[in-house]
Amino acid sequence: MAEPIIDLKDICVTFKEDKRDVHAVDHVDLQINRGDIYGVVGYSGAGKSTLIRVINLLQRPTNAEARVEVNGTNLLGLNAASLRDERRKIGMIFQHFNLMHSLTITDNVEFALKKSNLSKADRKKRVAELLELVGLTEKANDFPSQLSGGQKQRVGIARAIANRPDILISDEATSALDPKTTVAILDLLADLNQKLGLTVVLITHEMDAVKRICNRVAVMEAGRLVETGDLLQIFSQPEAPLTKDFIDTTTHLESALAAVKQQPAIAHLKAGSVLVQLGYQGASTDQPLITELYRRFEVSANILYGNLEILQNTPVGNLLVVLSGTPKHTEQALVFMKEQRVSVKVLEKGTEEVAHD
Amino acid sequence: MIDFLTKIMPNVVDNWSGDNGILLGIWQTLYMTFWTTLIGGVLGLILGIALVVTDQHGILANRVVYNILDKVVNILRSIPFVILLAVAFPLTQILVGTTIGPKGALVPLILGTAPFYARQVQNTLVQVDDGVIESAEALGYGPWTIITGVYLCEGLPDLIRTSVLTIISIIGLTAMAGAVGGGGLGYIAISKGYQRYQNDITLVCTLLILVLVFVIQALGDLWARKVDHR
Repeated sequence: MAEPIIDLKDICVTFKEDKRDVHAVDHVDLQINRGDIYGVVGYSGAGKSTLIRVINLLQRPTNAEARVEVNGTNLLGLNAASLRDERRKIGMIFQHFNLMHSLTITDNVEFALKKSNLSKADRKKRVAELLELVGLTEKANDFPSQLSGGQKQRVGIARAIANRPDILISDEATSALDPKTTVAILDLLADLNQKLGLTVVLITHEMDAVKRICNRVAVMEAGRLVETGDLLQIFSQPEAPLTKDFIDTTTHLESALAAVKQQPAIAHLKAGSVLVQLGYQGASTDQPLITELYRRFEVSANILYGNLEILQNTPVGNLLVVLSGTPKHTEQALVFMKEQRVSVKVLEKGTEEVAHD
Repeated sequence: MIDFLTKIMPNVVDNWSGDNGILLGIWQTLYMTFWTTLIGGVLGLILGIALVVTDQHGILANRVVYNILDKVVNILRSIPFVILLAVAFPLTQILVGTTIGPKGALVPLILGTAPFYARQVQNTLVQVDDGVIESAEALGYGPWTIITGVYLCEGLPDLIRTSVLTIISIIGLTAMAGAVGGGGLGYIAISKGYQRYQNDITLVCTLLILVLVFVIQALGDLWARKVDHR
């Protein structure tokens, strides 16, 4: 059994705004296991930032029932000094990097070590080591204003992991970066997760980021978690409408479907033809399914749109296909596919009679 | 050379040194400026930091303390300095034992400067990025480290600029304090230059103050630019 490193129970954060209560986080339970890269996705205003700030108590829950347990310690029971010690074990990076402009890169990273037991020489060594790890050795004596966004975030990461934390919280850390830099930073996080066993909690509104590195996902809306689960499960069987929306932002399946339905051939499907969405993952993709359909049932498959992703080394595919055959055979083909552990969703069934001359 | 100076500004040469001389005036002005800057500066800095951290979004948010400090600063800032000079007399007598001379002027000067500088410090430090403060909190730092390591460090370039502004205003105040018995260049300009129609003295006192202001401004700008890496 995986061991939870972060255990949030019944978290509420309520702000007073113009005498109106705003429930930024509304009775949320969240468990994150050691070694996870856990993604919390949601649109802005969903309460993601507020929720992850509860992990290191930069934001305190406003209800008495809340429990915040990190690494087996109940953070809400600590005094200020012990809480500060615990915070040092939780690194955090930010959307706008939050570096000190008045300090060089070296000094920015060393700033994190002010309270460490290392000697002056050891600190210098540690900083050099960290800069090496994030690939910024050559920029050691530059000031933040001389760096690009991606480089600034690397400094942020070096600073966040300087005290060898167990957890790294990423608050929209790639949202201010261009796509290519985003990928580089995400890969760095994944690399740190592997090399240092760092548990990463990242919040983002970009499903692509989640898809690239997370193994578990929570989808957040209006202060609540509407769906949580493994990445694969969420991707192949999303349940909440918001989850589907988010997944569509990377697969574009819904938009493709809308376009497909516009086509005259689809709008007037003949009897015996069905428009289906096939979803499959892992092993089931290895079988020559489409050939099999024709061989067994003489049902032909016309692929209109396809999206294939590799998530955590497992292929996950979604196809929009028109199956055509005699109505009976088509039915048999659908049953057969379900037996093959392919998820089948019938979107449109042909009703128009085949014209006779 | 002396002949030439005597010819163009006879009164200045006559009143250069000795009791109530210009040389002494320069010294007294520097004396008042220095001590007011030092003491008023430290008090103002502490007050300004206190205002920032006890503000409702501050790291030690405390509405009661903030409101008290805010009112004190506002009241002291609203009293015209000339009146403050008079109002502060009894306090001055208690604190420094005299109400005249540069020493006697220090108490009202500090009372006038500290709240002014406190506001300047407050306005400067509230501009330090909240995100940077938050990142220091996330690193497990308490108020003291955040004040010294983040606020004062990140705010330094602007603090230098506002300090220069404050020192220049202190020089202005010393001239006023001088006129009511504090001594210094202001006193000489008024009592000799203005009241005895010795215009060359007024002119020289003005020029000396201008030189002082320019030197401080130039040094401050240089320093601020050196530490500003934004």
